[in-house]
Amino acid sequence: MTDRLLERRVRGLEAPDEGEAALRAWEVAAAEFERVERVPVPRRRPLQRRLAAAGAAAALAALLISPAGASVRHWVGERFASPGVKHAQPALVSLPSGGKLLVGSRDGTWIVSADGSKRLLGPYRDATWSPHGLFVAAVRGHSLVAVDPRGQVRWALPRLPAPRLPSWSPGDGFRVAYLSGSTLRVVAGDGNGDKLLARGVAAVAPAWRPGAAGRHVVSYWTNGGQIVTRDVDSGNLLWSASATGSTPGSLQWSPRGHTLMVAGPRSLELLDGRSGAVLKLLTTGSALRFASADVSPDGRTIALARYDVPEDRSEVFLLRVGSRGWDARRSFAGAGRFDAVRWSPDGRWLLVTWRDADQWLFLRSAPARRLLAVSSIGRAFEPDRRGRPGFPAAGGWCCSP
Amino acid sequence: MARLPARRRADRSERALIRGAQDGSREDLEELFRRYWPASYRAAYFVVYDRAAAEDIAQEAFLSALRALHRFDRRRPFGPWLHRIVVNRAIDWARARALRRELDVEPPDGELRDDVEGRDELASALAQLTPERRAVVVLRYVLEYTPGEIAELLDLPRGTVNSRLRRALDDLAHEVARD
Repeated sequence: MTDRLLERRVRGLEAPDEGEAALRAWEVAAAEFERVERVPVPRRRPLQRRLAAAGAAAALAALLISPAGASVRHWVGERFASPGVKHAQPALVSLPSGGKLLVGSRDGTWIVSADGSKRLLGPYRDATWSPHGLFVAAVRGHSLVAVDPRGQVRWALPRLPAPRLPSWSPGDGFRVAYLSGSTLRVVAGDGNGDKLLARGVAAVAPAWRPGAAGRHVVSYWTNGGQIVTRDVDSGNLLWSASATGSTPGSLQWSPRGHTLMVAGPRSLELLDGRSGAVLKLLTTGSALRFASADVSPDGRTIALARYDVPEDRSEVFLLRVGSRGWDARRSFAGAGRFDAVRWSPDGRWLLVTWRDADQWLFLRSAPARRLLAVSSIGRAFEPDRRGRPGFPAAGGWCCSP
Repeated sequence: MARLPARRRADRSERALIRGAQDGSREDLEELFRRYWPASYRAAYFVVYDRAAAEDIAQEAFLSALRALHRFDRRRPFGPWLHRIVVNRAIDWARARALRRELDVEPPDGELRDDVEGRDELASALAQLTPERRAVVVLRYVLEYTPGEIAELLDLPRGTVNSRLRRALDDLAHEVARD
């Protein structure tokens, strides 16, 4: 076949479903356009850039600030010249939708209650809730411990080499998986029967698959870039698959154990819970990083925080998995870095931790949109330290009523 | 479902459409979408050979362009800007998939099944090429860029583009002849 004929035939190739795909894409694009246009976007002028570079953030802040707690007609699609929401609450007075939130700071692990009160649980790190919030598994020095929310230690595994990232099995709570150095170990929920499960494991919290009572299945990320799912009690390998991203990120099962979300800085994928086959894959450009992702309690939506490195700007997207592709809706955008996104136990609120603004944002999208902002988060969890406070890490938000 | 409007603004220049969209004209955005999205989808599809992924890639690229519209320099052409995003993302996606060891189990609901059925021999032959070669073929013959423009879009030396095109055509001819 001649080149000319080949070229003509390539030109004539048609992609399937183009019309339907176009309609769906236009629907999303039109909605996004309306959101962006709802609040006119100020054009950046060279003078503003120079002012920003000179650190004159105060001059710019007045241009682009969204009020906290106001109707959120204005916050979707809005851009911020400097990090932070103006008129944020100075202190946390309640957790919207209730529950209890674990927070890690340099002082240790805190528990924030529904009324906004907080108590320092102790000098623990990597804390995680038991399934019903009755206990916390955490690391202290070279020990893995289980404590109740009042701080009483129920059991401890001492003298472990580099313990970290415990994860309590859902449902019956009969198992706790944790890393020790580069090994994955599992202990019963009462602290007995500690055993080695795997070697060569990357520093990613193991993720338990929800499912049939009495069956304990865990997924973990290996140093070789494999995502491995194994039956803990039999030790049997259920499946393994290569992670798309080379940098380990996080693992999270959907609530009914149908899919496993694998998130890294450059990619987010959903794997089939039965086989590890890729169901969906989302990758991002070289200048962008996925900072955090969290599957909603009903499993239908993934909250995803993305950081644009050259623009020094972050966005939160709500991704819904349709029969084809992702339905992505931008929920919030602002200058600087967002650290984490966490769904409330009832799935109605989303916590966004905004490191560069030293703020927490609570976003609600239904039935009416709301935004609550709380400032001075670093100082709240390091009240007695001198100097600039660190920014705490939001842990699990427990539990469904 | 939203419907694409019947009214077209085909007579307006690209620069006028971008200016209009920047000033909030939904009609101008619609015309930009009409002009550039179908080719973007087609290009993405023939690099990744996966309908859902192609839709994701084309949609995300258009949304990225839309969000950056306010700072877009109207003196630059819009199409190459969009197509650069699409093709590079499609290459990334195809590379990532090639690196995976996907298990031979059909996912639920038949999702992400490779669109093999019903493909003609040429489309099947194109699918046998590497993503990088598919990309230059798509840019050259589907989007109709010159080799020089492709070199700029993919940030490659022009000689590399020419050699990839030559090898791709040879491979296609070989595959089609074999079928």
